[in-house]
Amino acid sequence: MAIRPENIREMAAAYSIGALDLEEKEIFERLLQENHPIAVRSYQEMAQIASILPFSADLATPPANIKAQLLARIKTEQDVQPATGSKSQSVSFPESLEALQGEFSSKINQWKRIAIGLAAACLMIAAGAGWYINHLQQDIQLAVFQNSVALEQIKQLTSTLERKRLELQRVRHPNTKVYLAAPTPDAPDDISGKLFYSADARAAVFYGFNMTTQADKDYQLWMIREGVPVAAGLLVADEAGIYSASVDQISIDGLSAFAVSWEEKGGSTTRNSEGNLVPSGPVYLVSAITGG
Amino acid sequence: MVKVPFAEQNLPSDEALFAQIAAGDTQAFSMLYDRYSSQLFGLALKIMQNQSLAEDVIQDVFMTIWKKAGSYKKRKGKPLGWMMILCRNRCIDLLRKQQKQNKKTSGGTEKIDALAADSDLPDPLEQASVAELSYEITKAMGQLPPEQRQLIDMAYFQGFSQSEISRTLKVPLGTVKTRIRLGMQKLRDTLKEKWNI
Repeated sequence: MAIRPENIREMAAAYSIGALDLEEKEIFERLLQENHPIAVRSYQEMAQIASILPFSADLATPPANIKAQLLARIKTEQDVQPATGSKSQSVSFPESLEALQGEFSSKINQWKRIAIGLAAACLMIAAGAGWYINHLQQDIQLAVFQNSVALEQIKQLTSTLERKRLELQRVRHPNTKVYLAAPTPDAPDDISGKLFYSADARAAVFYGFNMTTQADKDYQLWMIREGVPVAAGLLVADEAGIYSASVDQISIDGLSAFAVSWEEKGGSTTRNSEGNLVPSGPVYLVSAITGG
Repeated sequence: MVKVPFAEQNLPSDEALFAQIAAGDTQAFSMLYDRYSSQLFGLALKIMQNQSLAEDVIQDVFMTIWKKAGSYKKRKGKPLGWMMILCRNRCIDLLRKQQKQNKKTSGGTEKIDALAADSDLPDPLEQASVAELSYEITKAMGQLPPEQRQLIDMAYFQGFSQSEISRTLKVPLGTVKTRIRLGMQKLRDTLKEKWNI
């Protein structure tokens, strides 16, 4: 876009006294760089006048100490640098008041940046530490939980071990007899059982095989005495899925069979007219004892 | 008043002093200081309106002269003109720093600086003594319409840009531009008549 000559002259006048705003300054300097004839001539004419403006200031004698201070600074500089007669190698000395102020400003800004960086680093470390502590707490909680689970497992295993020990003890009695348990028509396929019974020891252990597991159900053992069922405990499955229950101090009078029923969790709660517990679910296995 | 070159007074010229200062001659520096410190200090005082700050500027300017005398080139104009511009720019930079402004006075590129120095127009500093220059420019400024003088004063001696002047005085920007141009043109017309510049 062409700029009118009067605008160029206007810019030249303002430029020569440093009054052009940035945008126009860039435009005008571009014109000068391109040797625009009107821009160059106008600038030269205005710069000529601008160069005289400072002389409109009144003379004023500076304090005497200014010169002394200047010479002292120069002497200090000369004492430091080698006496080569030139100032080509000079100590690092603030070149100007502005440079001195700039140097201090720059140092202050540098320290500010360092302080901000340190603060940020501390925050990050604190955040990281906080995260780590939180994570550690989670790990601790997990370990405690796992420990409690392990303890529970140990407890269960111990219980199982004890049970098995007792079972073994009863099974290994010299007069223990083994009776096969017969599945009833209600029993699921493949279910079977064995009864280890010792009249002398007055103890029995029942093992059930291929018995399905259901969380809300239990297998319950019954002794049948003169045709009346007597609750004898719930069967418990081991790791191999073999269910077992053991009974001791059995009253063997009139005992004719053992049976296993499929009950709600916790066993039957149904009672007969005499108030005795009776199976409420289907009976799956019956093991008759013969020959005493 | 006729300008008598220093050489004719058996005194080294400004250029010669600069060359000696560049070689580390403190005597030359001292002579230059005695020659122009009042001029520079007066300018600094006019702009800064503060004795202490003006003293700081003078120290700064003369230390710059000490360090940069070797890099001074004739293309930058007469040494005194260069020193006065240096002093003015230092003052404006300091004023702006106090006002927390980031913009600094900056010369144009070397090419632009050379445009003024290479001009075929005569250098006023060659035409008249400093005293005469001072007298004539002060008189010419006094003859300007007040509104034009004020704007040139605000721009040159206080570092205002045109838009800043417009905002400060609540004068349309176009009017500011016109007044600055007319004022500078009027100064030129007045001094051209005097010195055939």
